[in-house]
Amino acid sequence: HNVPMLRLLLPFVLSVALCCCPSVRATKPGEISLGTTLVAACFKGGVVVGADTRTSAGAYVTNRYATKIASIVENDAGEGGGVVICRSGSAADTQFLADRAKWELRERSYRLGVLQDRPPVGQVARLLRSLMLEESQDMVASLICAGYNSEKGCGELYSISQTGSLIHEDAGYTAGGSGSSYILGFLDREYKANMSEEEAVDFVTTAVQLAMARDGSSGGVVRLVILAADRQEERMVITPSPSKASSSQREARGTVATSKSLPGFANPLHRTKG
Amino acid sequence: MRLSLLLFLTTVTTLLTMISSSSIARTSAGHREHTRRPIVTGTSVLGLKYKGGVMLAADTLASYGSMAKYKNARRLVEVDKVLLGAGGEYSDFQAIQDLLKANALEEECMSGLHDRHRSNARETWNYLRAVMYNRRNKMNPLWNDLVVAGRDAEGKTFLGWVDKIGTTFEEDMIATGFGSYLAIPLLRERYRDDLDEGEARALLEDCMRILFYRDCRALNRIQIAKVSEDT
Repeated sequence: HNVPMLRLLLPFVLSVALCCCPSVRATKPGEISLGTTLVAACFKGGVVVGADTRTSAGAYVTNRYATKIASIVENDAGEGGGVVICRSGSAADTQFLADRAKWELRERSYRLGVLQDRPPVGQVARLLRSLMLEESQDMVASLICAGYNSEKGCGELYSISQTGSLIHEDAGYTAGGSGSSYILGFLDREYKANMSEEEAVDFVTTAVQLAMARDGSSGGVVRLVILAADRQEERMVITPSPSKASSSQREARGTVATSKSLPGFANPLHRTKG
Repeated sequence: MRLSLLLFLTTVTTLLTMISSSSIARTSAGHREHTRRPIVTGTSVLGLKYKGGVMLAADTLASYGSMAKYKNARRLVEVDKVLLGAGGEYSDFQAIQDLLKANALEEECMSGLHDRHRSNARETWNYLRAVMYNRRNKMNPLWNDLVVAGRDAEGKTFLGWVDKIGTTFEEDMIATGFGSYLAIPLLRERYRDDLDEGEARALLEDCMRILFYRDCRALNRIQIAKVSEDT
């Protein structure tokens, strides 16, 4: 006669048990967060990575010129290649992951010798994933790991989610962060395999600019890093709107700095350069 | 014994849900309404008195959470010669506009076009205080921070604030939302009694620029409204 009792209690027990299950931590209110837009795309002979530069604490922009692309493996000048990660989630957690991964890889290169100076992208991605899994209960971090694979002669992309799923993006492009939702359709439609470097730069820049236009947590300028066989290059794009817009559209979307005369209003006296 | 256990558990759960649920407000028609969080929101509104007038500034964005969804929303509006600006829930702001327009229309119908009582900014400000406070007492606020600008009955420029719980004050410079943290210090530093219109606009534009830099929910497209000497 105990069995019917258990059946009665089961729904209550289950709901209590589910509440006790550990879950992924959400960003605390006011925690510095990289609500962000990250885009990476492979082109013929390398990979272009782009990110916005806004760091926010709630609705306040704490840093409008942040660096979200961290270099994990830097090769000597003129050697190209290298691995970078794009950080999204909690600023503190992702900075920690980047520093820790760099340290681990350097330590490994001391132990294993010069050959491991250039770890392949996949190895770096898996290392990051294992670091994340150690602390995933308390960490809010999601990364894109991008680099140039000298063996295959092309770029390689990995996404690592908050809970530690590692995904090799063999489609050739990926996006991350809060702004990525707005541009996934654009990326799906506009990506072409084996683009030239300039096309890829334009593709990534436009994607980040479009996301910044709609995502409140993304903004600032577009930072780019280009990893190719022979070089690592950093660039920055300041104009807020995609280059394909006509000049009149660009003017209309310009910043407040260019004061226009409004009908019925006296001209503002104070003019600053755009 | 099974039955008594079941009864006990159901009474416990109903008690818990009753305690935890928010207080239930009812409209005049008896429909239940609850306090809601704002969904489509506007951010700061700035107001500044200058020599001979008063000027308001706001951006044209209505956000949907963190998404910049409606980039052409009008957050500064003129109702019956009174300027009204609002941050907060956009639909509640539209409800307030409808309310003021309905009042003006009724007055026009009752007293005729020539003899009707023309409301002024101070009167509208007072009326809105009553509206907002009344809703607050029913735990169902109109989720807005309002800025009212215009002229009062004596023809002097007026600039006042009404918030969602019915607080009111009048001042020479007013800012809501993020503007109250970022723009008020700037306005206080550069305010003078004899600002002319161009200077006032330049000052407001500078403040809007700072807000665009530092407010995640701001847009770089703004709307400016003024009540000047000839109105």
